[in-house]
Amino acid sequence: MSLKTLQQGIELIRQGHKSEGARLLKIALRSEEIQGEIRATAYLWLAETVDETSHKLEYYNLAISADPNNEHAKKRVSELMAKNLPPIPPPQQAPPEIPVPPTATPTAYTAQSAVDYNNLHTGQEIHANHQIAGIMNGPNGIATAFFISRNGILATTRFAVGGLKAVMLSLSDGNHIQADVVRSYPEFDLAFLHTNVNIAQLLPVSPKRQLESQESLTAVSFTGHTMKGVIRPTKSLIKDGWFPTTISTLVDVGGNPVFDRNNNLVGMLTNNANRSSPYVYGLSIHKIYHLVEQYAQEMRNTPKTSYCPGCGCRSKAGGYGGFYCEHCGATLPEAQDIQRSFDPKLAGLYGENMSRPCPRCHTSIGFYKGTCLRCGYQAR
Amino acid sequence: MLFAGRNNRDSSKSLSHFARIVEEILTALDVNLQEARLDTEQGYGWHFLRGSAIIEIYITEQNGRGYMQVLSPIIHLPETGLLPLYRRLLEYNLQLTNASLGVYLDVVYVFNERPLQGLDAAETNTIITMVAGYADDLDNELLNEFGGRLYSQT
Repeated sequence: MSLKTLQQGIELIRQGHKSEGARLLKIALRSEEIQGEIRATAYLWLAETVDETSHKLEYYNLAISADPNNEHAKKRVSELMAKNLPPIPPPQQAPPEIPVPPTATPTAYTAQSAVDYNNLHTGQEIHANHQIAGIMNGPNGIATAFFISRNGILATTRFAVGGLKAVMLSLSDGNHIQADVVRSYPEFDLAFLHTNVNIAQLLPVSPKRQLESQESLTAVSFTGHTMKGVIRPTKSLIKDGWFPTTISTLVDVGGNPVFDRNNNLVGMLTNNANRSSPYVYGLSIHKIYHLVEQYAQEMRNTPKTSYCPGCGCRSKAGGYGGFYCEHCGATLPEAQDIQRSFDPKLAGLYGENMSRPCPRCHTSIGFYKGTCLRCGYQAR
Repeated sequence: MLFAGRNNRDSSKSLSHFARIVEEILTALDVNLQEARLDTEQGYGWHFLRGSAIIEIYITEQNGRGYMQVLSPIIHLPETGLLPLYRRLLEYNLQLTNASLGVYLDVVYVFNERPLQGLDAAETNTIITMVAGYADDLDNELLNEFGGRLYSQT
């Protein structure tokens, strides 16, 4: 019933009857049947019925609350915020060239890996091949990373790089090079590093998106040590992108490529375990490639960004003369050692000028669950 | 008491004992006790200036236990730039010893609360000195970077 009301509301808005359409959508939204993506869609259509930026933003934020992964809502919030920004000042110097990862999605390579990881015994050392590197100066200890693009992007764990913006990599030929951390995803314990190393052939990727229970796994460290296990059977709900393993002891702090019985890459080992067992989880290689695509898209859309080690995002603030990441508020690395002050003209970048004004403190900072984020006034 | 959240119970065993300790320390800090004393609904309270910071001290009893609360309102929040400011406050919270930063309404506070049990004059003095020191250091620092208004300025 609610779904039908919602469809009628959308249809009316499409025909130009905004107020009547909005009324039906609001009725539909009273129902708890309307959840997730559908609820977000309803809010997006409601946003089409209002003209004021602050009202639109409220609906977009409600859409994101209902469906946190809703790209349409995020894009519209981003567009709205961009409209409120001052023009970007001309750069004092040419911005550093930032690599864009390959856009092709991974496919199963016909060539097999040079090393048969599955015929190695646990603990046995092999010559690590050039697709795997070591992180020597991570905050939590030595870690492994592996190339995921031919133009020098490596994947490792966020735990391995912590809040660093660059790490020292040890390559298999004995050379040490610096790698910049260019993006990280704390929620997936994933970080991307950029180097100037070009790789002729990447590790062969498994075409399988779902790993079967009890499937054998071999994780490899940059020193060549292997860790063997299988996909751990579990009745627990596993979050998208993660897979459970029976590996419980790591030889470093993570970031190890994980191979299936055919020596195809299936993911990356992390040192994340749940509270009831010592077994660690891996992150699917397809999730990693999905996120590197997302990173490439970010770089194409907004090239003048800088890496925020605080949250792992690419921040636009530096391009506008700001000092603080608009995602987490951390002081950006380039602004650490200079005299700083907050420029109120950048309030739009932080989404602070688009909410309805607070009745008590009169600022447009915004509300969280009906409470003014500045003065604590409770609107409800 | 500013952040009182506990249910009150009527009894006071040794609050006056701790109030005397606080007054001895304040006297040693050259605080005029007559001017410093606050009227409170229960327990004891004092306020005084330390550099640019206002320090408030309360001795109260909640749920049958006595507490000393030392706090300093430092700045009124600015109208923009709250995300980086809130983050900075949380980052400072990890660095402060014997004190925390918090927000109540639109005011940032440096704050310490400790049960009276086991509290002696030396520790009381340390807490008051640390909260006052942090407040005096941080108020101008936060004001210069993020704006807002000093609490002690109207």
